[in-house]
Amino acid sequence: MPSSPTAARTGSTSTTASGAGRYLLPGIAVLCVALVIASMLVGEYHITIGGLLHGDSEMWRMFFISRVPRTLALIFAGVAMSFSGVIMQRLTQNRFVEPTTAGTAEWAGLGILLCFMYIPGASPLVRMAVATTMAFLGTVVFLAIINRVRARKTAIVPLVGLMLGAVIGAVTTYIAIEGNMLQAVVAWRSGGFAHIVRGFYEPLWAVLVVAVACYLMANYFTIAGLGRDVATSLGLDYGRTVAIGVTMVALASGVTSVVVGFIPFLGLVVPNVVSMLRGDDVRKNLPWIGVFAVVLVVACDLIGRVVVRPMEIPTSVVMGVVGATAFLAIILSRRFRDSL
Amino acid sequence: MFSLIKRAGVAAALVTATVAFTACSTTSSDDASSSADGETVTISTNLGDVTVPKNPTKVVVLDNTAAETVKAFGVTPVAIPKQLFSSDQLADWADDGDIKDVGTHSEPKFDVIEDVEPDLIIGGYRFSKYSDELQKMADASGGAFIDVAASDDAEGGRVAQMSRQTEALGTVFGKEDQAEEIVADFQTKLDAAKSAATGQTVFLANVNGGKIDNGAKRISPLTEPLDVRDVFAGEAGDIHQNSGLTPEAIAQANPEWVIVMDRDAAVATAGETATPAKAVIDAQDAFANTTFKKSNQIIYLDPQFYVREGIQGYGESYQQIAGAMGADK
Repeated sequence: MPSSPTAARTGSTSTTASGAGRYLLPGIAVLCVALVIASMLVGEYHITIGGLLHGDSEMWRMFFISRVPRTLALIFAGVAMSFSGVIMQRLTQNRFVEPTTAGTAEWAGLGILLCFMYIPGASPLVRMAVATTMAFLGTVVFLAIINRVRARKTAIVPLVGLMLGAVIGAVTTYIAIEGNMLQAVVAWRSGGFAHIVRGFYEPLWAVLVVAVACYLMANYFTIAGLGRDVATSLGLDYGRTVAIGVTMVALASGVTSVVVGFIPFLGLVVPNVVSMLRGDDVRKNLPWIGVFAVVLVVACDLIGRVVVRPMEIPTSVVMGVVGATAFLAIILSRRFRDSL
Repeated sequence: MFSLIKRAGVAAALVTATVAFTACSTTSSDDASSSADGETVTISTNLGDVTVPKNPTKVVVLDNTAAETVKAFGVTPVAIPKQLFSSDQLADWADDGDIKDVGTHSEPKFDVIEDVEPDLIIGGYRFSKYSDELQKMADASGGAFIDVAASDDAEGGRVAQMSRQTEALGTVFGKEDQAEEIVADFQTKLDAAKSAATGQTVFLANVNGGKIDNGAKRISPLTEPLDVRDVFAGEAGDIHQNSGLTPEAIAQANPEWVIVMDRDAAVATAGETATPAKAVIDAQDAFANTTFKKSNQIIYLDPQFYVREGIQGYGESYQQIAGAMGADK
């Protein structure tokens, strides 16, 4: 393992935060709080701190209808995507895998399209169930394929995922064209938080379950990350761990896809950056991963909200630009050069 | 996308080959002599004057803005893009097994058009990027290709073009009188809407995939001749179509009227509730204190609005607007 000044050694030295990490992580925590407050205060409707303090009922009403749900949705989506990324990276032993590079999100999308077509009047709960089922199926297919791939530590694994995702995406587009549903698919696929208000974000609370489960299961995922043989010899029921992990990923990405669409790169960039700073202890890293993901997703959303007011640029677009840059930086960094 | 490019390429190659073998001399676009039987008329189109065979029998209608007029004239086409045409007003055509399906503008089946050897291809609008191919196909079969579509790029705007389009089609099919009636009827409805619209503020909404968005791109051609003010026009509003709009921004803009294009309904399966958009808008807590919600000033356009977009669809919408805004006085 090549060592660089900013990257702590993997595994055993996880508690030793490096110099940069010591200041960076508290800084990120402060930034997170600031961004969440900003997210509550930025928007088109006239809401001021003064007005809120004076108890302006109309301002408070809109605050709870629009700003609070949106901010919660951002937090939930950030946590869902980044935790899914962590789980998938451990299970595949590959750092470049997450729901949008493994095709999981595309499968969820296919589920939503089928839902649009065959049960158009479906409640969000039904849509979630269908999307989650398809995401589960997709993740299982992906894992089955990469189980046959020897080179776990290379870029081949995410490439397989991207290819699989592209195939499923193409199938989705084809069905959408045949059913004259392309517009609806495009509208839904552009992940954005613009339409998130009270009454439209509530399914995301399900993400909390995934987050808690992920935290409880964290040590198992860390062990699973050592590979099937090592994990089994350490007494881990590898098959069951994988099954639970896949279910959690499916639930998180299924719910997120239904409510806000795709958010690319989040699950890839955040866990990797936190691993660079703190090592690979999943349990200890999870809170930081959550905080960092919220910072990233809220920041991207705020940029999208401000630049073309009163319209918005979907968060996924901003995240695509930021995430792709970070992704390249990670790939080209010394830490991973050997493993490519 | 690949298959589209490939198919277009194959189609173009086939057409080129056919033209080369059968009629080496045919280079001019409006070559009337090739349609030997009977007289021809010259009409003005969006691409200049074109000579077309009068009362053509094998007509391919690709432009949905012209379709209802062609139907009103009692003409049955040989091929249409079935998915693009209104499933209400043009259901007869879609259900007619003798009428071939051309696919859609995103995946057109040009071989179908070649097979029917059309006397006339009515293209343009959604198919405007294929004008060259369509011209070649028309040349190959000795027919004509016209683009009289009511598009926003047409001279004088979409609404002005609608009347010219109807008159041109009337000339082609020998239904001048009926065309005049359609235009007069449309003008009456437009005038009524004009006199009802007196400076109101509007939000042009598109409800798509359960999201409420700015639908100005599609609806503003409709409201353009009227004296209404789009609350999101200008500034960023007209540049960033379909990028996203928060319910709170709509509440802040507080328009007097909302004109809704129900994209979800247009693609909904037959037999479903007609206005999914109404359910989406009614569920919005953020709209509770807005003018349009309080006085119930929301106009839901025909669910098929976005696939009709012809003189009949616009006429009905003007009638609707005149009724709603006029009753308000």
